[in-house]
Amino acid sequence: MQISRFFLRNNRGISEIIASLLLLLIVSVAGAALYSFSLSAFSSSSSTFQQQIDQREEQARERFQITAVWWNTVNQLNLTILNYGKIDIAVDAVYINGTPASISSGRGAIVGTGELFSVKLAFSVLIQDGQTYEIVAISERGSKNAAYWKA
Amino acid sequence: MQLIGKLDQDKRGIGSIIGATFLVFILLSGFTFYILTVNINEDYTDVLQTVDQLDLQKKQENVEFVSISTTNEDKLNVTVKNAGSHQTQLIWLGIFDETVTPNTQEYHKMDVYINPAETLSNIPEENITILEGQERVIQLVTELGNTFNSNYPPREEATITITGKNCTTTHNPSQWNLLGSTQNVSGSVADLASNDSSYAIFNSYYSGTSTNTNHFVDNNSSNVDNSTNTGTHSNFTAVQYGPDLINDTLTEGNTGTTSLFEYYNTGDDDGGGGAWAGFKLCQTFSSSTSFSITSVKLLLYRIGNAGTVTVGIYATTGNPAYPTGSVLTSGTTNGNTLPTASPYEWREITLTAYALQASTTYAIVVQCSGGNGGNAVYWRDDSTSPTYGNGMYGRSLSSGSWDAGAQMDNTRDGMFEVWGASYSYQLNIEEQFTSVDTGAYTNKELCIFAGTWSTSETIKVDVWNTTSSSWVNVIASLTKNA
Repeated sequence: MQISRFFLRNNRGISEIIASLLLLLIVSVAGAALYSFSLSAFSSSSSTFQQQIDQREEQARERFQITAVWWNTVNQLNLTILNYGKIDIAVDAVYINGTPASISSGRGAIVGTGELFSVKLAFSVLIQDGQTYEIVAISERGSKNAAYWKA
Repeated sequence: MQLIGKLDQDKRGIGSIIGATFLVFILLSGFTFYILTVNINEDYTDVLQTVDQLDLQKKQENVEFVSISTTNEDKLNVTVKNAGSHQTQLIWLGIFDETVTPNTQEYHKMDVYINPAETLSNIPEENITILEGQERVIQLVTELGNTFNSNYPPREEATITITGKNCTTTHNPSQWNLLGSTQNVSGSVADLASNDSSYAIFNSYYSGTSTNTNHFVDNNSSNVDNSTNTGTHSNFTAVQYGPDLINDTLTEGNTGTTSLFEYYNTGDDDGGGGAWAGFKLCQTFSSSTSFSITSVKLLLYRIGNAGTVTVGIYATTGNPAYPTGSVLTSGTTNGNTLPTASPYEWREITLTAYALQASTTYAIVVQCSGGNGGNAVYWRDDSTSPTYGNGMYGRSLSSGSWDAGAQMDNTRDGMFEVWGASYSYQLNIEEQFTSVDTGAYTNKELCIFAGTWSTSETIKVDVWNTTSSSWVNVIASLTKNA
């Protein structure tokens, strides 16, 4: 009976405490959520930025040179390409005077630094003796190198 | 009561702590992100600087071929010099054979460093065989991606030594002035710039007193082309002086060929009539074309000794046509050599050529005036089914009269053939200068004064080229009165 009376006399402060606790809880959860979201957003943005920079960096380190163009067979043109960059490369496309050439061999092959490799082309344009053609090789990262070949 | 009062007093600092904590976290996170971004950018910048540096070095890289040779063992020996400003690393040596189709290409890996200004021989280190005389393109590939090509064997080099002592200086004209009547036929000043096949050609002119000398053709019997002349002169001497109104008339010759024009030579079934004393035999005929009669062939035989038989061509008159007038042309044959029985003889009697007109009826008349009833010539005929449509057989009265055609018999045709030459008149006359010194005159002219002729025909004039032994045309169509 004494206890009941005690609680009855002091129950006016409970709701204030509960409210404070609830408020504290809400603020904490909201803050944690906000922090977590911010961290995640920062992390994602940072990762995307890192990937973009990595791609640019790889492309900047990529260097290759068409060292020779010669007839391999009657209807096949052979390009010898040197990878003198600081990263492996793979040739993705070749254009002859702006027209896409059909690559019969060598497309997508990974070539290490300092290595030579061959790309064989089936003609997609009419080749005429004595004519000079612009041959452009494109890597998978988008770098390109041009050579001029006189048929 | 004490506890609750305690809590109530302490709760005021908790929010501040939590807020401060979150603020610290936020600041740390932002700083971390900033640091991360700066690091990434620095790395990227470092890479760009590195590759830019390499690109710059690549542009400054320069390797020169000093020599390309083969050793006694036919091993390739390349000597190169680093003419660039940085150390160069050769990583590949390419050898291309462009003399074959398809081209061949081989690359050999190397690892050779050349310092700036250094000349290095014995490249490549490995033994690569190239036979002397083989043509190849040698390519060196550097680590920085440059390629340097050279040919083996090296292109021929020529050394020109110019010595100013005891030499001849050549000059070429810059212009010319033509004096007098000199003519520039072809070429220009530019053609005289060098000693080559381009020249300028000039025509000189005669500055003395000119005189004309006439030379006339003096030989009309030459035959340089081994072709017989066709046609005749009337007065060749007339063309060897003048010109005046005394002309040499050229007459075309008939080059037509002899052939059979009219005939009835089948169906012989009758002995025909006899010709002796005043009795004559005849066969009339006509031709659709004009021709020159030269002979006749008659199927004849004799009795006794007929003696000379005369065959003549006569004009005809009347209807039916019978011979009239005097003989136009004639010929004779020995009647004593004719057969007296079968087989009878196709005897040819040659006549003086005489022009017969187309579609005009003529008569072949056979006479044996020296004969009699026992010595006569007979002319065989077709008396059963004669088919010759342009004439008929006939025998005159003993007086030689044809009785106004009553003596002509349209139930019989004599066996005959009329031969002659078709008309094809041409002029092909060769005349020659034999005493003209053709080299002694500045200008030479060939003059032909043409007179009048009746037709619209023209004359072609050729000269004989003794070098090519052929005729060269000088006047394609010489017209009359020209």
